[in-house]
Amino acid sequence: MKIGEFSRKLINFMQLSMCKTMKQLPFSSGHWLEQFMISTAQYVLEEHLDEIKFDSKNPVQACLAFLYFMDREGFLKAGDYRLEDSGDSLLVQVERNNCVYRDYCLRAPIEGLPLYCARLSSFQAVLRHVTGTDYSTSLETDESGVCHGRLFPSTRPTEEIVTREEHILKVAGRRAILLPQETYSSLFMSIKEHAPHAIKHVLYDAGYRSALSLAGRTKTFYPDPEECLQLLLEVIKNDGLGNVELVSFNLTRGRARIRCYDSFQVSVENEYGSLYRSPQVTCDLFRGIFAAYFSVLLEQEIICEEMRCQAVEGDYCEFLIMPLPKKLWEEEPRDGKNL
Amino acid sequence: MRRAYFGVEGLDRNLEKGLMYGSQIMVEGESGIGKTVLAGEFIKEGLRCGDTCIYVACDEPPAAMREHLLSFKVGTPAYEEADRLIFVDAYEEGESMEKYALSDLRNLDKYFALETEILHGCSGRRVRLVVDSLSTLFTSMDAADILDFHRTRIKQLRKSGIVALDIFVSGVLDAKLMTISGHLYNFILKMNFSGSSYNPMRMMQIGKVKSQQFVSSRHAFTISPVYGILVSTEMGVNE
Repeated sequence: MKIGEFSRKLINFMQLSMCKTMKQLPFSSGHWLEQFMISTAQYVLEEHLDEIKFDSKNPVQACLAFLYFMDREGFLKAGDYRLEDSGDSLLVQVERNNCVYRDYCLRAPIEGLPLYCARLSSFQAVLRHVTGTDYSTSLETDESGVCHGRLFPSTRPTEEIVTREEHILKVAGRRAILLPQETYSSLFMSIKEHAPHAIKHVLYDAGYRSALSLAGRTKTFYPDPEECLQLLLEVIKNDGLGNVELVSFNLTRGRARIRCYDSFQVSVENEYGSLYRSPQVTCDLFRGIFAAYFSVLLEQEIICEEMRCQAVEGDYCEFLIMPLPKKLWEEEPRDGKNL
Repeated sequence: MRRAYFGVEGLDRNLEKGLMYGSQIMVEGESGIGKTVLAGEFIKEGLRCGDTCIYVACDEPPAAMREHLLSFKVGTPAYEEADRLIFVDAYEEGESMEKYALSDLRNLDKYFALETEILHGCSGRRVRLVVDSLSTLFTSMDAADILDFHRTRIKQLRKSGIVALDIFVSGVLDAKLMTISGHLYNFILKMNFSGSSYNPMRMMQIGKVKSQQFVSSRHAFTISPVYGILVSTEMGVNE
């Protein structure tokens, strides 16, 4: 079988179309897109296992065996690819112009679509089949148009992956619920009625407690604080809480500035009424979340203040994160003083 | 129009329309009753509302209030850097390390000049001013000088739209002087212990002086290390 120009275009259109569709999914589109790519390769493996002949469990050899098979089928030229071991990783190099997926690869970023290299995904399928290990991928293309791919054993936590098993919805394997804004608002309006003094504390504590364990788990996979933080902020975005942006982060001083556009708390405030008597900062849940994130990442007690809130004015909320100052004032006997 | 609140639920519930910027509140109470805690609540609420808060520390160093706010998870350095929380040291005199400090605690003119300078630097902002306690500044002052100072200062604060919370420790100033001073304020909040000495209860009254009468209602409150001041029953303010 030789791949013709029309077939090549069709394959690339299918890739683009799939990416466009996946992008519309509210959750885990990246994960499912990756699964789609891997799964396609798995079908090829199942159907042609006898012909591929995996003689070695070495990642380079296994992937080469797959490439030779595809070459024999006329889908690609195995000689266009350079594969080498690099510790736990497998490095892949190919000139983009020699790749079947070139059109998809060039067009996806222009259309703002996620880019998943189908060739690397096929290697993920091969490595899962041969070694039993799940691999993640990264891809860079240099100025001369050479793609540099890397496959490495997966360590990424799957916090954002939402699944449904009949009536049970799960996030990262744990039962979850979809809470409409109205229900959330009712919950807090009820607290406002019964214990108005507790609202901001409840929001802060809820944010802090829920973020603490997530930050701890993520840190075990990503010990680098900056990388870990970016992932944690991504979770906030994926959960629909708001579009968070790290404005600055000074690791040495333990300080950071974060902005959040379209905070869901602001939306609740605008749509269902204010929790407070006068216009004021409302995103205490975020304050708690950020305080927990940074306390775990920096291994010291961190406080977070919301310095401006979209509920009051402006286009975003801004949070300032800093270490809790050491005791400023040593307590002495204070006759009749009332602090 | 924007209104200010104390940040104490039971208290705010009874100020339906809140406090107009430019209002002055006199807080009078016994030692240890919770006047400074109330001041802390007022500041916390102000910071959340985007106000600039000025705290004049007369009875303890400013660090005491910083510590107090931090104990309620208020990141004071963030607000101080943004120039939205300003401490004035009217306690340590010459030894103060604060940006703003009163060099002579026995000179009301100097205090007035410093307060005016700081407020001038905050023009165009919503400002809350807390003096804790004003009665300490008045100690050993002549009654006529105190009233003169009071009238001039309150007039200026009102004109500048500053919400001021002036704290007075019970028994420091003459009762007659307190009554006359009370007329200058929009609200008076009295705090005192009640009940037996074995089981004292904290009580507060908020009201106004009308026709030589202090019109108010009285209610119990407690101080929580998490929530601050909790007013335990409904309060009614007779306007």
